[in-house]
Amino acid sequence: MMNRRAFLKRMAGAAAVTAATALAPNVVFGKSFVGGRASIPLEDDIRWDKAPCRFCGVGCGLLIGVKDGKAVAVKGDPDSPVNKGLACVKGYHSILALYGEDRLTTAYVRRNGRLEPVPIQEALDLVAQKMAETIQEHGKDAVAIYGSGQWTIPDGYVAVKLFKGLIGTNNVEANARLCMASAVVGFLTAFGLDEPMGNYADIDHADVFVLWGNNMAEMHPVLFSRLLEQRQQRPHVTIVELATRVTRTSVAADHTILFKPHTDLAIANAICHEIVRNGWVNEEFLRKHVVFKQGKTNIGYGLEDKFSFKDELTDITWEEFVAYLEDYTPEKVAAMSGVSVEAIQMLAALYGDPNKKVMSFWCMGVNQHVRGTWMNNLIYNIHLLVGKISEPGNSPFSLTGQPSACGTVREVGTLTQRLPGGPVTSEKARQQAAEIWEVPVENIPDKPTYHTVEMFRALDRGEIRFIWIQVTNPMVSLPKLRRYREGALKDGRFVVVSDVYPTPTTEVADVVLPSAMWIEREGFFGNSERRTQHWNQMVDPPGEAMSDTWQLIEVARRLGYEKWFPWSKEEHIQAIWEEYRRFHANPKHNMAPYEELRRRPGIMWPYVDGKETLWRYNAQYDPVAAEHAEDFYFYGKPEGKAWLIFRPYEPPAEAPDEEYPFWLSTGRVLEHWHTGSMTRRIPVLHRAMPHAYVELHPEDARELGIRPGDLVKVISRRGEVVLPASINFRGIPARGQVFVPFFDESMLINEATLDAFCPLSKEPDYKKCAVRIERVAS
Amino acid sequence: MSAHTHGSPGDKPWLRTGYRLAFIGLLVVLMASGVYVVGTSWLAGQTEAELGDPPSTEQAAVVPVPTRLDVGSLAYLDWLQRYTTQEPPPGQERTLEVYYSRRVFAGAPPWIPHPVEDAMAIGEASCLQCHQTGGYVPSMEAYAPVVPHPELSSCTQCHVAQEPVENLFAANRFQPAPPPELGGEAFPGAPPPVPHALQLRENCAACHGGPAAPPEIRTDHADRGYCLQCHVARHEEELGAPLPGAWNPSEAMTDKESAP
Repeated sequence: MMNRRAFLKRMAGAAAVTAATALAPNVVFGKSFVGGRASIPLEDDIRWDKAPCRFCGVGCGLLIGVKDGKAVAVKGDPDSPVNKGLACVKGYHSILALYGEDRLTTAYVRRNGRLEPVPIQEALDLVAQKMAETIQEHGKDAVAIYGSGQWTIPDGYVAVKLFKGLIGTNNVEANARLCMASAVVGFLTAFGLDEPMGNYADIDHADVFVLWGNNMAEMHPVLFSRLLEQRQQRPHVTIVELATRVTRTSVAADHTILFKPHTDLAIANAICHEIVRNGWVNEEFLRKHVVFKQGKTNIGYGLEDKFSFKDELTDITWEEFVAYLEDYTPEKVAAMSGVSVEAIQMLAALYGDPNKKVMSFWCMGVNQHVRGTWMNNLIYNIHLLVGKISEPGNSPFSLTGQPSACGTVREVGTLTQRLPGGPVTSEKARQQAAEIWEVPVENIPDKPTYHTVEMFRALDRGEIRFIWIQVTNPMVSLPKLRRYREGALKDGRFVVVSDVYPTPTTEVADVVLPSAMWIEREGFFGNSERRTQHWNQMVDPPGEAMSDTWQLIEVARRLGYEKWFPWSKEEHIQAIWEEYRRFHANPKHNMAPYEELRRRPGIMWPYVDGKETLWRYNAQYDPVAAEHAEDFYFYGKPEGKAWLIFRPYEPPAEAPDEEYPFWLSTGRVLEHWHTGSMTRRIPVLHRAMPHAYVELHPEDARELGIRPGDLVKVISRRGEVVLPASINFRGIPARGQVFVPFFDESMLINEATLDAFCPLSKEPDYKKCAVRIERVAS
Repeated sequence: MSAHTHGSPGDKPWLRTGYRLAFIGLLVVLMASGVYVVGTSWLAGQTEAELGDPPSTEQAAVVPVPTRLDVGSLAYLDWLQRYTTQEPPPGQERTLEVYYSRRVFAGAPPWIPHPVEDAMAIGEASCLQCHQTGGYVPSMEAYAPVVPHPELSSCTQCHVAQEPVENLFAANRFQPAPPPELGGEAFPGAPPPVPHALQLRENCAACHGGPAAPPEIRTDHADRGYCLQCHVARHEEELGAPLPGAWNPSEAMTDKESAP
């Protein structure tokens, strides 16, 4: 049968081909193509809808093709300003993460040491019952929830409301503590408000990119492609990389500067020293917009239980600041860091050149650092000294590793010390929360309890008796794993794990709840550039799988809090968004309305009078700044000025010695995201990177008699792990260093890492500890 | 591209053929030497890596890489046409079946079906040496497929090599939609429409021209110039019915407009 439209199309086609044959006699139409079917077999029955990528914090816009209730294809969303149509190998194959054969489709409860399948409603009853019992027997601070930057905004919001507002405990933490906490404290100390002032459009304006310990080619590949594209179009663009190991990023960079681990603190100060010495300081900017501060020194490493530290920032004069920098002459720092005097001077000259716009990028190298907050401060110090901040192309830019580390953990505040509207210690923030949640303000405790490492220590010690872990895999990702695994397995501990696949964390669980992931439910993420991204539910979750939001609502209702979680299944995401938005209803943080977010591939906050604020604190772009000044106004601080905080070099928590002569650094690879529980189930990614390895310098390998593929034991004071050696493959560490990716649950490198952390941010240092290397006799 | 164009077909065909052969010869020699240089430096790297001196980027692409291509482009067509006098050796043709077998779904980035010597390499100095303009690669005994988007040089961001693994980490039940069927002409003899999206495949010549193109979709009239004149792009229809009030990129604010 042929309808009228198809008939007309054919008639038009016949006319066209007659005309075309006459015009182009040398072309035989249709010759090279088989077929000639009546219907046009396009991808017509595939329906496409937008979603942010499920993996890293870049937040690429994707279009997901759905056919017959299944996700069948992915392409980059050309309308997304983040990625403009490009994705990476993980994004293109992300939908396969839904279809691993061992997907959890039912709940499990541990009985006689074995996980047995049970109906999910029964498992939720047990979770609620155990929670109530634990609170009754051991107090409300004996229950905890641990999530991650993979939590959607509604997941995190419901968790905070339930635990902080109704149960009344600040035992809410997230994997982002292990990943972004130093960036948060860096922002708060320097500017008083979290998250970058600029956005990814800075890439299109900058002349120089400085990457601080950031293998962007593998970890933020789509943004790195934007850098390469800029260099191709504007050949003067320069990419400089500071690193401890040679990677794909080094191959692409114009300059790679290798430094000894931990000496980045000294290098940043040496750059400041050279900027001051050469008179490249932007004096007017400093006078109008900056105050000088210093903090405490000799601040420790958090290795002991119940470690506590509180920084005190005090004023210093310009002269004092300059005097402090005298310890960081290029010559002194060159001797310490292994970086040449010339390289330090080059970096200072690039930052100092008034005709060059400079963008700095960093992620885990700077954040996972026992002085991570200090490193964040030092990078801001450089940008503030030369006044290169908050304007197109001049941008210190902190990258994130999880898709909603910003949107959920930092903005909703799923950390022990936070509420959506501010710190728990602020009466104003507590009162706002009490008002919006309709609970007595006394419900909300005013003191932070445990940060992540201390939370798992408290579980080990027995102060925490019940922990609910959602959407993260701490039994792979925590440092010094053995203590925390054994702690979780102790008698009298009840562990609930919500996930989509079996992991080493579900192995320690008493209850496993199957989760609906990503496009199996409606949600929002927030990426590194303050962009909130909404997606619709596109496919049904498998079996009894349920979104983390709804799992929390079910348990809250069982605990008697139905009144505070009254929403229907159909409308709860929108209702949660509308309630959550009230926390940020001011021009410094306003979030876009639900309808706009549904319509668009992400919207940046502050969203004021229907407009995104592209550069915060800059009066040309930010209406709040425009109220106070003609150029810049750093309104996160009471005096409207940014804080330039001097931070010195202090040694690492552990360094190589005779017994353990190698530095160990850990990290990721392009193909696998975080602990690999999703990406390893995607065959094309698994085949590209089937297992972890220990990367050695070829000279070290030769001295130890190790060849590629040989099994090698990496031993630290905490534990050991056996891995195959990798030489001249993905990266080349400097001599005396080894690198191991942490995605592989059969080769858990976190058995060896150290749980030392930055005393300000409480973020552990996964990049530096001491190990011994032994070849395993074959 | 223009640096290598020839006189119009027809005048002195003997000269043109000779020119072609000489050029192909030259190219083969260039590629062989490229493979030799890369190979030896890689071998050297096996025994002695020089830290701080990342793998050589000396063998930069001879041919300039274009910036963003327009939809319906025929980049490097003049290069590809030089190869078309030679059919791929029997049994070595890259059929459409092979083409799709290297993609998880139609439109996914193909994986790399050959070993990659330098896992740290980036674009111009490695992959693009063969995959920018195509041509016969003796070490692979095959014609190199041409990348439709050579301006994106961090190739391994999307295209990954595959190791022989005995077991998957876990089996996967993903079922792709079948690739678009060929044909679809309004009637026999009419030009078939483009059955796939054009995003990152703006350069038609890459897959539809030259000896690496699957014969099922190789065009015999690439010199017609602008493919979309006759082959209608239907990629917008793929999006299906737009959402109510769907976002239109023209609504995007420029940097200036955002200023209060």
